[in-house]
Amino acid sequence: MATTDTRTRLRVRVDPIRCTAFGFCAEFCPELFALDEWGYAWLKVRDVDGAAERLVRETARLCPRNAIFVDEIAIEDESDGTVLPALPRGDAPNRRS
Amino acid sequence: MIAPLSDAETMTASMNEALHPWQPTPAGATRLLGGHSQQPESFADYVQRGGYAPEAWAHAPGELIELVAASGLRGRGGGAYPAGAKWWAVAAGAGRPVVLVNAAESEPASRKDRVLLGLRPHLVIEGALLAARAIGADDCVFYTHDPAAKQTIEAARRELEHAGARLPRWRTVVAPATYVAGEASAAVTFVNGRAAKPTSKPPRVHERGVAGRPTLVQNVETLANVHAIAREGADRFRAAGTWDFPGTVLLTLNGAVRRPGVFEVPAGVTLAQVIAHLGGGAPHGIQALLPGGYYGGWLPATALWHGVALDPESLRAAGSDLGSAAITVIPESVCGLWQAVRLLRFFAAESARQCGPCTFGTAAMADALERVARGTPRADDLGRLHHYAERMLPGRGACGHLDGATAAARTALAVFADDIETHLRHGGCGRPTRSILPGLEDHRGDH
Repeated sequence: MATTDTRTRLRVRVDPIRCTAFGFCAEFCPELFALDEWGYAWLKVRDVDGAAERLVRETARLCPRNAIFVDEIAIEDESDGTVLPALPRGDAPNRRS
Repeated sequence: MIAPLSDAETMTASMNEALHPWQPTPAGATRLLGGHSQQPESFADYVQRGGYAPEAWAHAPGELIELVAASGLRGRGGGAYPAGAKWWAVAAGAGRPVVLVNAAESEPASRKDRVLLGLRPHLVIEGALLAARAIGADDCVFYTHDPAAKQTIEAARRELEHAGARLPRWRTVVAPATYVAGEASAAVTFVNGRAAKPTSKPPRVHERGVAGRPTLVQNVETLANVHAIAREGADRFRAAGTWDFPGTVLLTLNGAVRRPGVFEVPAGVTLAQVIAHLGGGAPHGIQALLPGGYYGGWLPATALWHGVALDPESLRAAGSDLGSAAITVIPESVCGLWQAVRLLRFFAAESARQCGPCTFGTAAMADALERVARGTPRADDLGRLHHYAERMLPGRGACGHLDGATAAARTALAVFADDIETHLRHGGCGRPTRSILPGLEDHRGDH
């Protein structure tokens, strides 16, 4: 996964008060977003590397509630940065896509 | 609050004798409550005992923060966050800081903050004023659910002003007594003129709080420890408690013990000692406990025999938490699983209903566990509970309410595992299902 721009790492955050279960994020970017059984955005991973920046920012822009936040974070170690364990695909009960 | 006050008084005295033979530092156990009548301690009595002493006020602001950091004082409101680190963060924020004294004892099983305020209001006020001096705050907000606490604290403040003290701006704010209203961002939001509901983070209240200013939100018991640290130093404070959690703990003992009440003990005493010596034992046996109020989850009775101690690290290692040290003992003589259902119902009822996963998830967990308790589960209710509590819901609320609910569900599945088997097979265990959880007694509409 080492890329030339791994100096950048992004932390993705869903504001749970803003999210009202439109579900666009999981349609557009199922790699990162699942939906829980009530349709609310459920992040599969919290941190992604710089290579995914365009996709992640585009997804955030698409959210009708502006509930998705993308922050640049400092890289502190050589791990792949995945802080939350990645869920296997299709794990969320009511995945739509 | 008259009865608990007198309880606390008697119990504190008898506790010292009871614990003495086991405690390396028995002197620590009357620091906050000790030696008082049932009346609030007057300004004159407080000063007589060293209150508002010049030596406590001789430190430069930065020195005082260093001293609090060196003392190892950690928050007594539930999070056990190091006070020194919090003070530094607020002091370093942009803008003039505010101190918010959190006396909103939302935890239904806890009475220790009210007892402390009722006995020693000046100890809390001096702690708040020292904190304000340390972080450079010119505004103090006393935040409570309890009109009686407001009266006590206002009377004490008038005494102080009458004695000629120049105080920072001081307001007392009474908020609705909901569970989430005690959360720091909910308190700040209420003081700022909106409903007492948590907000999303960031920003955190130490960055942007009351009136947009950096705000130190600190529990009253935490603040009550500051006077002794400022006056006697960090080492004296560390003479009681453990290295990681120095000082004493005010605990509320509820449920099936002979002598419930509010007690002060050095942190790190075992929970078995607390129940045996302060509570007078548990005549109906012990099935399980909630050691940290309703937030930290269930603890199996076996943890007592393994020596689980009253400090966050020991209780976390045993799968629960110290929380606000509101201990509820569940006897063998009632159905434990129904207590667990009642607790999940509480979390569902007290959700602020702002975050979808909390609004729906807390209710879904309560429903699923109730079907299990009735012996009428839907297919895979148990698997679904594990899924909710361990994977799907943790970390997904704006505040910790949902995490409290998942802890209550996750620990119930482990602690009451045998009971669950029995209920699934027989639809019950034959024991009474009435709730004995303080503040959550059964009412109309419950089973």
